[in-house]
Amino acid sequence: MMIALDVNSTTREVFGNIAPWMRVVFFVMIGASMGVLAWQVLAHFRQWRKGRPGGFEKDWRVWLQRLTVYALAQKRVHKKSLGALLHLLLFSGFLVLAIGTTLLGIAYDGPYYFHHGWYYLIYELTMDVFGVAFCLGCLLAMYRRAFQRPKSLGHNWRDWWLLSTLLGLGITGFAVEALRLHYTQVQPWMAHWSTVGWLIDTTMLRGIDVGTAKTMHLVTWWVHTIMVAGFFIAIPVSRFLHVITGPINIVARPERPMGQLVPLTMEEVEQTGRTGVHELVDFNQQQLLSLDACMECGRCEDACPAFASGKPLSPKAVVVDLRRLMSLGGGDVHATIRDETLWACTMCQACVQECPVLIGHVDLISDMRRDLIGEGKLSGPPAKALQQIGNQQNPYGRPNADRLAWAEGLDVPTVESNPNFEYLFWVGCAASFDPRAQKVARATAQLLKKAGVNFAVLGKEETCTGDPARRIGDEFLFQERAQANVETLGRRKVKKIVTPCPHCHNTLKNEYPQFGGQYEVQHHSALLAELIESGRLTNAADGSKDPITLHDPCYLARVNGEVDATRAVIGAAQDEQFREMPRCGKKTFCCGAGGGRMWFDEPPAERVSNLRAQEAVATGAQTLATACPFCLNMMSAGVADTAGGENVKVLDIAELLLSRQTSARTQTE
Amino acid sequence: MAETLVLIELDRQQVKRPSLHAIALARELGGEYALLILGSGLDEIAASLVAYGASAVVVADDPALAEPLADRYASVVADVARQRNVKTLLGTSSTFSKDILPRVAALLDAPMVTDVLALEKVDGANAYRRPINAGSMLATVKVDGDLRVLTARATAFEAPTADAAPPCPVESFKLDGAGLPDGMQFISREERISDRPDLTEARVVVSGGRPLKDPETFERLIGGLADALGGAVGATRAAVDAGMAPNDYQVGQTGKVVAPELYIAIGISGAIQHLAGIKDSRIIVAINKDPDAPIFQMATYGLVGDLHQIVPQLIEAIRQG
Repeated sequence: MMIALDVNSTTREVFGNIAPWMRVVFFVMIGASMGVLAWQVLAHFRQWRKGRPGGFEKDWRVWLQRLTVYALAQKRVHKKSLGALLHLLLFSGFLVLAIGTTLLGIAYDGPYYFHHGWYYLIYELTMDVFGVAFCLGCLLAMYRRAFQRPKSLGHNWRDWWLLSTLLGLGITGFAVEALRLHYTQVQPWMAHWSTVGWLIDTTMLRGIDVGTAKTMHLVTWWVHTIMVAGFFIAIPVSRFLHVITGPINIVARPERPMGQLVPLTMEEVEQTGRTGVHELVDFNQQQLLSLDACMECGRCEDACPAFASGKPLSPKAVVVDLRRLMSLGGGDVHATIRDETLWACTMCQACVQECPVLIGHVDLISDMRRDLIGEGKLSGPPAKALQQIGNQQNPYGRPNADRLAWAEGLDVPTVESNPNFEYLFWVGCAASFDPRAQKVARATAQLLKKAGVNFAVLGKEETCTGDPARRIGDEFLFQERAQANVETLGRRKVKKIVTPCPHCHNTLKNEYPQFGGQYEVQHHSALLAELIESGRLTNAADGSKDPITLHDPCYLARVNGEVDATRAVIGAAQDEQFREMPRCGKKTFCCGAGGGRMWFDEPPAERVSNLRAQEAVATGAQTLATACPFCLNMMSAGVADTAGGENVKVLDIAELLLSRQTSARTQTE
Repeated sequence: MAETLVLIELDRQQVKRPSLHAIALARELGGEYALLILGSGLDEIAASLVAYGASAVVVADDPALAEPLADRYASVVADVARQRNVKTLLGTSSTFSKDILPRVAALLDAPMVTDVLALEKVDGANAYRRPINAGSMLATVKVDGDLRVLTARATAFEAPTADAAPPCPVESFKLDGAGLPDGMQFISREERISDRPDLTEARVVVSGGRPLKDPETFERLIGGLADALGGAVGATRAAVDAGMAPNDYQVGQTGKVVAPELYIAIGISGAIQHLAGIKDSRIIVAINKDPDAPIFQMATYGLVGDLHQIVPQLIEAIRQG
């Protein structure tokens, strides 16, 4: 049906029922409430300014990309949950209603009058659709708070106050619309475009005379207006602040690899007299801003292995506690956050991966750990591991002369015997000294030899990459190792590195460039997968096989994005007996050894390794494959502690692959 | 002259010898020093302390002090320190002083320095050297105020000689036993009376792991072999977690570090955390049914087989031999 539109009459009044003096009151009230909002936001801004200058992303292309992906498309919010759905409804509803109201303001008294004709009709319909979405979002949020009550979300009276205001805004908005339709006696065909208002009008307002409707409209309009003003004032003191601070932090967070920590320079330390963060203002400005971006959704806490294992750490609580300290004017961060909380972090980055507004929890924790180290607050086995990295260049305190003990009888080429190597096989301390992990080094070397790869090892010239030192917070011990290793790798003209340790891999690849070391670094899974692809190794299994599952190491999968090569090496795609754990790939769950936790003592009830082992054993797998010497250690202990896990074999992918070479050979011989 | 008060530790009516080492630090600090003992029925003990060159032996003797309950001990020590206008309160690093002295420091509102290794002078004032970062670094610290509480590492100071003449007076500190704090109650004392040598000092250590299954089997096999060899008993974290062996038997990264001449690992696979505690042992013998167990790569001698069969035979053979 085509309707001949009369462009000038297809519109509506804006302030028709509002007397001129009331309009003045309206503008003053809205203006004042927005002024309070601006003043409050400015107060937050001043608090951020107290931090160390800078820390912001400067590339505008990154800003645009991030705004699109994280602010507009809300990549991190989406998942199959009620929380994500209601946020989508609230977010889209709020965004459209806010834009629509602004457009109305422009059209009402601006130089361009466009609020009529087809534009007007579509405008009305759009506002109604998103108004419904908004109200539905509020109701679902209320339902979630009242009945589901997810613990990590946190609950207090302010949330109810905020949700009630939002729902009230939606309902009074529709009521105002319905009453306006009623007293202006709009023609039905036009009223249909204001669908919700029309429905209310025809069902509930029948029989009300025009005068009464006008009075009711005036009252409802004022209620709506006062709620809008109240809402503006509530923004800075509620979760809603994130609609302002969230996007700012999304833009401001500096772009760098997830596995890279920021170096500390001696100059900074001399200037500030501090290593790391002791006072709140030792954080940089972007970090302080990020605290205000948190809306306490709890996604980080849900993902945190330390929290799940009952340790005194919740990434959310760290952010919220620091924010409270900031609102109180700053001070000693350790008075707010206990040492045990900071030491509990495995630096698995699960919280960082989850955060919708890109807060860097691990950087916050790392900065505070650095201060604890500077103050000599670490003791026991982890402190001893650091001491041994300093003295013996490995955390196990073994003489570096024994670096090649694992290779006995294998005739492994060294940089001296084979100076024209293509790949440097970086063994890592664990695979060099831990008798269990030595088998991984042996298996990898045998596979490389079988495939005819031209490689060499550094032998006693290899030392700890410094990764544990850096994660624990001993930045200068790390830098000492990094500089020494970069020197060695340069002297040996190393270009390509392959290593069975995801932590060495991450540090060599993402952190050594900070010290002038640029190499093509591969985890052994990637190179082995290539060798299988090119037919130089086989991953064909021999006949009957037990169910198998794979534990993705955090620093391989989540932090460096490698999830395919490990599966390719064990032939997961062709293996009917392969079973994924619920938390797999980039969304893997930590084994508990990261962040230096390998050297901390934990009571049995608090072991992350046991939680993960239970998940692995529950798949029914008889073989648990992994690709990290620390995961290997933790999962071996974990399955032994788990009912039904006593007979589960924990193997590195290289060991599995090697066993398939021998069986394949036996078949052909 | 500033006076120093040295807290001497008693254990079942005997002076704990290491607690006398703090006297050496008291002498280095200069000036007069008094010794303080707390307990019940202390006449004999007080008499044994008069020849250490102190200005006095102060005795707080009351039935209420029979057991070292931290709240009342701290209250008495603080009272003595106040009454004598002490400038330095000194103890030896031990569980006893860790329990008592921080409370005293709080009661006196005094700064505390623990684990003092040496006395130094910085800008003419006393400064104390102490380990930080698990002993990987040494810090020299100064403290503000007139009054301070210190604990000395016994190993860093010589045992004092008891040759002062004439002997010093014994002074009794008057206290009201009923008026002492009573937030803590003494319930019972449990001690592991063991004829076995100390784990960290033994020449032979026999350790067991998870396959020992229960405390009885653990004691029968591991304890039995240790007794046959006159050695100490150790355990892995898994065995301790499973309740087969008490906590203080744990050997490894988070337990004790041992370096015996002979270490026998029974049913221990050889996780790196355990090996961290035994790597300096001279001879390592491993008994395990899994020939691929990592422990065999560390072991001087390895025996592959069922420990439940091997160990009883071994005990029998040693007893007969």
